[in-house]
Amino acid sequence: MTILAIEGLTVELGGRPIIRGVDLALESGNVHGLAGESGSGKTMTGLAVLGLLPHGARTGGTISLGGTDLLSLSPKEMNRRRGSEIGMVFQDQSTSLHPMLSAGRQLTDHMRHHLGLDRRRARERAVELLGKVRIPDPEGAFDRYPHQFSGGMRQRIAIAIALACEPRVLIADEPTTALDVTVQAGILRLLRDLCDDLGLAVLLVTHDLGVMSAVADVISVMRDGRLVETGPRARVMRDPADPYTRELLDALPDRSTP
Amino acid sequence: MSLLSVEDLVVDHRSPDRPPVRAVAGVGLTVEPGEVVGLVGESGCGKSTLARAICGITAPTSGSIDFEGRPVGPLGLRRRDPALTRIQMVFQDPFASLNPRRRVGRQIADGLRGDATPGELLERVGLDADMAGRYPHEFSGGQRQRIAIARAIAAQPSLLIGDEPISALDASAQAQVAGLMRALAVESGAGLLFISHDLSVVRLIADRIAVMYLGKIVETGPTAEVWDDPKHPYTRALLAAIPEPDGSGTLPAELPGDVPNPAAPPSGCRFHPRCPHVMDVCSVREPVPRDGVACWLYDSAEPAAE
Repeated sequence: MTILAIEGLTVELGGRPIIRGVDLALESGNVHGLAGESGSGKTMTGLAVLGLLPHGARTGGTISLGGTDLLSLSPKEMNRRRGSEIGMVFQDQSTSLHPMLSAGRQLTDHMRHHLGLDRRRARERAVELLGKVRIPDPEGAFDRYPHQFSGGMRQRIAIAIALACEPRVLIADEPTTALDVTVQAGILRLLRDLCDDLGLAVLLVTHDLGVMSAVADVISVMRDGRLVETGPRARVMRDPADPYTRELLDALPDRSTP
Repeated sequence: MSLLSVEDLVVDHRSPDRPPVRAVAGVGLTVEPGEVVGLVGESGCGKSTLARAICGITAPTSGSIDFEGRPVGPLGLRRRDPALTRIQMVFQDPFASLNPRRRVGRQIADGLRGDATPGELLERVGLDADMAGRYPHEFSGGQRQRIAIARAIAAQPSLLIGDEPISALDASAQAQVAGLMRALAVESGAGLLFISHDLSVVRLIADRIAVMYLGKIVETGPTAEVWDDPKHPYTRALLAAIPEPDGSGTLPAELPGDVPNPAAPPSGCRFHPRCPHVMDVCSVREPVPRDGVACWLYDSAEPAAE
């Protein structure tokens, strides 16, 4: 079932086109991978869904979530959906968490706002979420601060925060790029499990085709603000239709040095 | 004689009111002229501390560091021994390692040896000679790291150290910068110690790989050998965690647990709490490196069970 449909999305920044017509359909329970070089517009596509584009950005096309066009919403209506219906996980977990607020405070803030939970119920749910993202000793972790966790644990907390209000769509922008490979493997497994168990629709933005191949069901490849190819994982990775995708795959060390 | 030989190096980080943290706990490492050694390991395993000690930025607690046959002492207030300026380092963050208020040409000229000009050095790292008059903020991250490399090679080093020189860069610039460092080092016959947590890049440029875990080197060997036939369980876990871009949708294997606190390392082999092949002896006694691997699994001379 398609949850989020992006149709003909264009973004212009300072008169320069950044995204020139992107069509994506996110299905529930599916991980949709978005690949491409830096500067191709991957991150901007994610930010457009959340209404977090930089000031002065002009948009075109539609992004519809359950029948409403997100691009035409007022800031107030968008605020209601951001964080509750759409969650986001950013690349750099050390800057996406507030250093002076405890993990628990950051987890309950938006739950109390969006879901109207009282302090006690919000705490219960936060502890449950910390357990779900496999933080050891969730009760104790609630009162600790970001600097007391390792990078992998911080990214798990960031994922827990994004999931707190049971969003239908999760945008993960390079969620494992800053992490060690051993930690990355754990985060990828977690994303996959959450997607399967909760029926989340995940948009995974990454430049790492290995990561893409491990978790994505559908892969789109982006270049210069346009999608050059979209298709099932196995087909795109093994038999790319577009010459640019082939170039990307050929650039991988494993293929060029047999 | 090796270009650089580190023996039994121990580095402690001391802070008041806390027990000292042993970041490097007895490391032996050599780098030969013209050789590229890749040092890999998870974050927090002491890779950077080791690099800083070799440069003399951090004072070692015990052990020896010999560079071209003379000991490397810690940096002091006086001018550094000119022979030791043949060790040059490229740091992780090019936004912090270049002075924002000085033109890049002047910064390169600081340590200049021989009759090359800053412009020529910029050309060697793939930039234009007339960029020497610009300031660091006028460049992108990849370009800045190239400038930092130009500054390092200006002193005609015989040992170049890269401390995670590519992790702050965009993915597209990473392989280029890593390749550039290798080419410049090999071309001039210098040794390169390349530190990174990104195994796929290290594999491309290193002749030899050293795998570090919690302050110790657990395995060393020629790159192809380590990659194709990893011996130590930790090396195996690291390599198994790299996702394969084959389109099959297999999730990479997860290494359970976190890196233990270096202030209170586990007894015996430091990897034993996370090791899938843990034996009785592992928690009691520390394995001795044999043929480049420090693991009881490969120590047939010692009885496995005691």
